[in-house]
Amino acid sequence: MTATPAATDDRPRRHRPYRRERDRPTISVGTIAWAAVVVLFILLRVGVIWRAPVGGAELAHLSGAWQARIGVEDERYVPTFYQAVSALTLGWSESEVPARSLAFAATLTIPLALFLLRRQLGEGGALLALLLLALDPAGIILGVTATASAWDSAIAVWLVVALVASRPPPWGWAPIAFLVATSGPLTLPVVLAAVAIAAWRRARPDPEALIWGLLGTALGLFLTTLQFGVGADGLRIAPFRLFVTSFDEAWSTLTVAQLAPLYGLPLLAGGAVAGAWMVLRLRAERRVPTATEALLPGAAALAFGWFLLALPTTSPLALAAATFYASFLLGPALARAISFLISADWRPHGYLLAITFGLIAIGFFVLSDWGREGRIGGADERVLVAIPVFFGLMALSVLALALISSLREELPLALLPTLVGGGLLLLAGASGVALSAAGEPLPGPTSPPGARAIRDIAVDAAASRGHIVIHERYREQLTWPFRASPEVVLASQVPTNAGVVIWPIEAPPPEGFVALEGRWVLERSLAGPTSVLEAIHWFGQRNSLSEELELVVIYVRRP
Amino acid sequence: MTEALAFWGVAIVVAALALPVAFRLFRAFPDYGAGLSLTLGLTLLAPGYFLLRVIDVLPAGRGGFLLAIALFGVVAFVVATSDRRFLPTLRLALPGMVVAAALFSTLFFGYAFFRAHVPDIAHTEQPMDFLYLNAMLVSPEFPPHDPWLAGETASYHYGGYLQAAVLTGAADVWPASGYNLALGAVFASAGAAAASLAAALARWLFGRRARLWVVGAGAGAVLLLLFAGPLASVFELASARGVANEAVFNAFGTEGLVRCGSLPDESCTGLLLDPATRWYPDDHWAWWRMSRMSYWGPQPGYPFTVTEAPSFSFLLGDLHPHVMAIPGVLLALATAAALWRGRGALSWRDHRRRPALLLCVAVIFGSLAFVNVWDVLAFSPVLALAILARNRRERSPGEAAIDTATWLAPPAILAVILFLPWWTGFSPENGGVYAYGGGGTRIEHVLLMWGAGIVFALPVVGRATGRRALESPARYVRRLRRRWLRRWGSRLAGSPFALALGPVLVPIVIWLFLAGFERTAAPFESGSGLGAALGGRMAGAWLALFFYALVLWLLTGAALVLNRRNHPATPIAVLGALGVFLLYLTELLLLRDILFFIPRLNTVFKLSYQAWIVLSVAGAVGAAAGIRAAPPRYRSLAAAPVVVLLGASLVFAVTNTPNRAGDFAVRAGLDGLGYVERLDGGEYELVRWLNDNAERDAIVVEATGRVWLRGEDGRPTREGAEGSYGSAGRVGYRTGLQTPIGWPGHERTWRGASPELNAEIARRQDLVDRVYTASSALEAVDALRALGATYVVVGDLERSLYRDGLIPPFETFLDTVFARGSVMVFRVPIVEVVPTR
Repeated sequence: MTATPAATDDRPRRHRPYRRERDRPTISVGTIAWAAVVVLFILLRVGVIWRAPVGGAELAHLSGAWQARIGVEDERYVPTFYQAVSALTLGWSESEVPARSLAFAATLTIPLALFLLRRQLGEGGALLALLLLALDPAGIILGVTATASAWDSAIAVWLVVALVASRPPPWGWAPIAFLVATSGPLTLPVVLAAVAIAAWRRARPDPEALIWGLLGTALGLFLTTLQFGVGADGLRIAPFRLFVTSFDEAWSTLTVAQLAPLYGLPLLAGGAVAGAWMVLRLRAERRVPTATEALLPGAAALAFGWFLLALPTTSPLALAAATFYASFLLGPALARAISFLISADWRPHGYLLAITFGLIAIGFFVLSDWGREGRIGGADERVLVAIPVFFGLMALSVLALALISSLREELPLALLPTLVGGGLLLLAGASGVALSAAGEPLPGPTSPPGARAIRDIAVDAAASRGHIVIHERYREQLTWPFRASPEVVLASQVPTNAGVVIWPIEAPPPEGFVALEGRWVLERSLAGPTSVLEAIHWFGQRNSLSEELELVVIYVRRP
Repeated sequence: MTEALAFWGVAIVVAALALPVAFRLFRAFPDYGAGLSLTLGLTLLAPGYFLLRVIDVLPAGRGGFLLAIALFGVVAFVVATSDRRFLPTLRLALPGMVVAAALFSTLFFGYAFFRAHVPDIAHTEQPMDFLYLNAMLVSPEFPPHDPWLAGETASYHYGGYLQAAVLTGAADVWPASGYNLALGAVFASAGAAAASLAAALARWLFGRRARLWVVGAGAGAVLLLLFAGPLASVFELASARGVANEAVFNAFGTEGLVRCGSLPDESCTGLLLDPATRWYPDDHWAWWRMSRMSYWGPQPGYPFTVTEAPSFSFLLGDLHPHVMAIPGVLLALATAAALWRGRGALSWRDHRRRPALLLCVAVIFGSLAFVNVWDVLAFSPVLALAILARNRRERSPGEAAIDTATWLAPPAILAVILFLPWWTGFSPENGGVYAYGGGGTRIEHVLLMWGAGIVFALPVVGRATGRRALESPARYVRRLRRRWLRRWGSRLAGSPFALALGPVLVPIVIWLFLAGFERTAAPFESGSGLGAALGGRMAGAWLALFFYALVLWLLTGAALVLNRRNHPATPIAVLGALGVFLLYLTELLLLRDILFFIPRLNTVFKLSYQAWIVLSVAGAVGAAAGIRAAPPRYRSLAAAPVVVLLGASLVFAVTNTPNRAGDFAVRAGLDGLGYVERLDGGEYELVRWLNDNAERDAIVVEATGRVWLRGEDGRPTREGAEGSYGSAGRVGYRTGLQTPIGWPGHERTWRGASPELNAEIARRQDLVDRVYTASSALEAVDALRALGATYVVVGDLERSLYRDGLIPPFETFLDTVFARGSVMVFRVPIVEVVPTR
C-alpha cells in the first residue's frame, strides 16, 4: 500500500491551476500603500540630514556633545544615550552629519514598529498613523537633527510595541529599560501611562522581566550619572533632566504657543478630537478598553498636558511630543473616517461639497491676497468689497456644510473640508521643514554656515597676531562653530594679548584693532508671523518671514 | 487675575491628586478628607520634591515642579486603582468634594481680593518670608542656599515656603504675586481643613442625620480659626467710637485702649488718639494693638508678649512658618483623630500590612517640623495619645503602651530619615527650658484673648457627666446633686479625674523645680529664685493660672472618661485640653532663644498660636454640642451666648479688614513688589533683570546697611549700622540670589549666635564695605573676589549708605550690565580661556 513516486504523480492535479496563480507575484494595495508611506517617510527626512542648519535644541545639544567629546563638563550635555553616541561620532568627524545619520537610522525603524502595531491600531490605522508621523514637521526635525531627544520617538514607539504588540523575552527588557532610562522626555508619557495602566489593570509584571528591566534601568542611570565617562555631578535621570530644562532653555526662536499653529495644528486638533471620540465610543460600547486603547490615549493625554503647560516656553520638545502621540490617536480615527467616506453616497451632496471647496478656496485667495499686501485693505475695500465677500463666502460654506450635516448618515462628509484643510497645512509644514529647513522658524535660532567661516577667518588671522577673543555674550553660541579651534578666550573686555576680536556690532571698537570688511553673522533666527494674515501669507509663500541676524565684527590687531 | 487663576488651578490639581490618599486616610470623615486634600497633597508633594532635588534628580526650574506633580499624579493613580473602594468612595464623597472646593475657592479668591488692596511685601518680616520663597524657587542646589549668607544652605524650617514654591513655580507665577497667592492658599486650605476636621468630629458626635449641626460646626471652625480675634477688639471699637467707659475698661484691663485725644496728656494711660472718623478704628495699623497685650493694660509697663490670632496673621500678611503650618497642624490632628476612630489595636505588625500608611504618617508628622519646628513638639504627642487610646480599648495598659510604642517607632524613624537632609542643615537656637518668673497674664486678658475658644470647648465636659447634661437647667442641678457628687466623690481616687491632675501638676512641679534652682527668666529684674518667682506674679495672673488649671483638669478628665467609653466626643475634649494645656505652659515655662531679653516672647507667641488652632476646632464642635444638648425649646437660649461671644470675636476681623485694606479704595494688584515699581522703576527692573539674566548661583553684592561717610581726612569713616527690618538685603530677598550678608540679626537667630558666625558676618560686612568704599579698582576687585561675587548693585540705597561720593567709579573697571534710572549693576569682567578641542 505504500505509494510509489509514480503513483503520486498519477494523482489528479486539481490544484495546479490555482498553484500557478499563487506563484504569480502579486502586490496588494496595502503593500503599495505601506511602501509609498515609508518612501515618503524617508524622503521627507533624508534631505534634512544635509540641508538643515544646526539650530535650536540641536545647537545646544551638539555643543554639549562636543564639550563631552573634549572632556569638558557642560550643562548642555544631558546626557542621553544618543547624545553620548553623538559625542562619540564627533570624535571621528567634526560634522553634524554622522550624528544626524544615526538619528535618522533610529527614526527609520518607526515604520517597522508601526507595521507591528497593525493588529492594535488596525491596518489602515497604523498606516495612517505612519503617514501622519511622516508628515509631522516637529517629528521630522526631532527625528533627524542631533538633539538629545533624537532617538526618543523611535524608543517610545518601540516601547509601545513591546508593551502591547509583542512579547519580548525577559532579557529583552534590559535593553529596552536601558534605552528608556537614557532617553529624552518623549518616552515619559508612555512610561507614566504604562505604570498607571498596569496599576489600573492590576497587571503584575513577570518577575524575571522586572529584574532584567531594573538591571537595564540601573545601568542606564549609572551611565547617565557618570555622564558616560565625562564626570559625575549628582544622580542624573536623563528624561527628567531634559524635561525640566526644556521649560527654561531657549531651544527655539518661537514659543510653543507660536509654533503650534504653524506646525502642529492639524495633528493637535485632530488628535484631541480623535481622543474625545475614542472615549465617547468606549463609553457607548460599554467595554473595557484594550491595553492599546488605554496606553496610547493615556500617553497622549500626558503629552497634551505637557504641551499645554509648555505653551509659553521656547522648547519644541513639548510640541513634538504632543503631535507624536496625537498621530497614534488620529491614525485609527482617520482610517474609520476614510472608510466611511469611501462607502458614503456622495451623490446627494457632491455638488454641495464642490461648492464648499470652491467657496473656501476663493475665501483663501482673498485672505492670501490681503496677507501678501500685509493689510486687510483700505476702508472702502474692507467695508464695501472684501469683508462682505469674505464673510459671504464663509457663510455660504457653513450653509453648505450644514446642508450636508442635515442627514445624519452623511454627517462625516462634512469632515472632508476639515480633513483636506488639515492635510494641506500638514503638507505645507512638512514640505517646508523637509525641503527648506533653513527658511523655517522651527529649527531656530540657527548657526549659519557663515559662523564657521568667521571661525576660519579668525583662526587664520590669529595665527600671527595672538589669541582669538570672543565677547562673553556669545558663550553659548561659540561652542559649535568654534569647535576644534586654537585657544579661544571669552572676555567682556578686550585683553591685551588679543590678536583677533569678535565683538558685537553695537559695541565700541577696541583700540589698536581694525575691522575686517564683511557681514558676519554668528546666529540667525526667523521671526514668526505676527498676525493671522502674515501666517496665511507665510503658508502660501514660505520665505516671507523676517530674519533676525546676530551680526558681529571681526577685529584684527593692527600690525 | 490670570495669575490667581493659574495658581488656583494648580492648587485644585494637587488637591485632586491627593484625593485617593485622602480617601484612605479619612474614610470616616463626612467629606472623606476632601477638605484636607490640598494640605495633604502639598504635605506629601513638597518633601518628595525636596528629596528629588537633594539627590539631584530634578534640576531647578518650573519643569521640576511640574514633573514632581506628574509623578505624584502617577502615584495617586496607583493608589486609587489599588483601592477597590475608591470609585464608590468617590461617588459618596462628591458632595463633600464640591463643598470643599467651593469653600476653598471662595476663601482663596476672597483673600486674594483683600490682598490685591494691600499686596506690598515691605514691612515686618515679610522680606524674610519672601527671601525663603525665592530661595526655594531659584536655588540651583538643594538643600536651598541662604540668599542672605552666600555659600551657606538655609537654616530654617522652610517646608512651608517649599509648599508655596511648588504652587508658585508650577503655576509660573511672578514670585511677588506668588507670595500673596500663597497666603491665600494657606488661608483657604486652613479654612477647608478646619471645616473638614470639625465636621468629622461633629458627625461622629451627632450622627448622620444631624447634617445642619455638622455643617454648623464646620462653619464655626472656619469662623473661629480664620476670622475670630481677641474680644478686646470690642473695647477697641467702643473706644474708637468714643463710648469708652473708663470703669468698664479698667475692669477688663483694657484701659490702655482708651483714647485720650491727640494732644499730649501725661495723665493718659491709653492712646493719644482722637475718636475714629470712620465706623471702625481708622488710625494707622490699629489692628496691630490686638497682637500685643502690652497695648491693652495701662501704658507703659505691661510685660511684652506676642499674642497673635490667625486672623491677625492673615490681616498682617506675613508668610511665616507658624501661619503656613496651620493647615498642616489640622492635617496632623485629623490624621490622629482618624487613627483614633479606627478599629482594632495597632502595633508594628500593621506597618507590614499598610506600608503606605506608615509613609503617610511619617511624612505628615515629619512635615510638622519641616514647616514649623514648634509644631512637632506640640502635636506629635497627640498622635501618640490617639494610638494609645485606640489600643487601650482592646489591650491592657501595659500591652497598649508597648503596641503603641512599636507602632510609633517606625514612622518616627522614617520621618527622621526622610527629613535628614533638612535636619542636618538646621541649627535652631535652643537654650533649654526655664521657669517663667514674671508677672504673668492677667485673667481678664486671658479671657479677652482666648476666652471664647475655651468657653466654647467646655460643653464637652458635659458629655462626660451624662448623656444630656444640659438638657434642662433643673434636671442638670438635680443630676449634679444626686449623681455627679455621689459618683465622683466615691470614685475620685484612681478615677480619670484623678489622672487628669497629672497635666495640671507636672508643669507646676517642673516650674517649682526650675525656680528653686534659679533657672528663671522674667522681663524685668525682679530677682531670681522661687521666692521671686512666686512674688513676682500678679494677682490676676494667679487667677489666670488657676483658671487654666481648673479648665485643663476638667477637659482632661472628660477626655479620659469619654475615651474609656469610646465616646465620639473624646477628640473634642482632647483638643480642648491640649489648647488649654499649651496656654497653661506659657504661664509657667519658657524656651530660651535669642530673644531671651524679652522672656517668653516666642514661647507665648508660638504656643498660644497653636492653642488658638486647636481651640477653634474644639470650640466650634463644643459650642454646637452645647447648643444641641439643650432641649429644643431652650436651644435658642443656649445659642444666644454662643452667638454673642462669636459675634464679639468677629469684631476684630470685621472692623480691621477695611482699616488694613485702606477702605478698599485702591486696588493695587497682587504684585508684592508693585510698590517698588511705583517708587523706583529702576529697582523693580533690577529685580526683573537679575531674575532673567543672573546665573542662579551668582553672588550679588549690595549694601549691608552700614553707613559710611567721608571723614575729615577724606577717608571713609563708618557711622552706624542699619539692622534688620531695613531696606538692606533687598536684592537677596527680592530675587533669591545669594548676597554676602543680608540681615545679620536674623542670621544669628537662624544659626545660633556663635563667635564664629559673628566673626564671619563681620568679615563679610567689611568686605562689602571695602567694595563700596574702595579707593582703587584693584581694592574693589580684590574684595569682590574674596566674596566670590559676580555682580555689584549700585542704587539709591547704596548711595544713601555710602555717602559723600565714596562709591568708586565701577563703570571704569567693571562691566556695566544693567542701567535703569539711578540703578546700575556691574559685573566683574570675564576673561576665560575656553577649550575647543
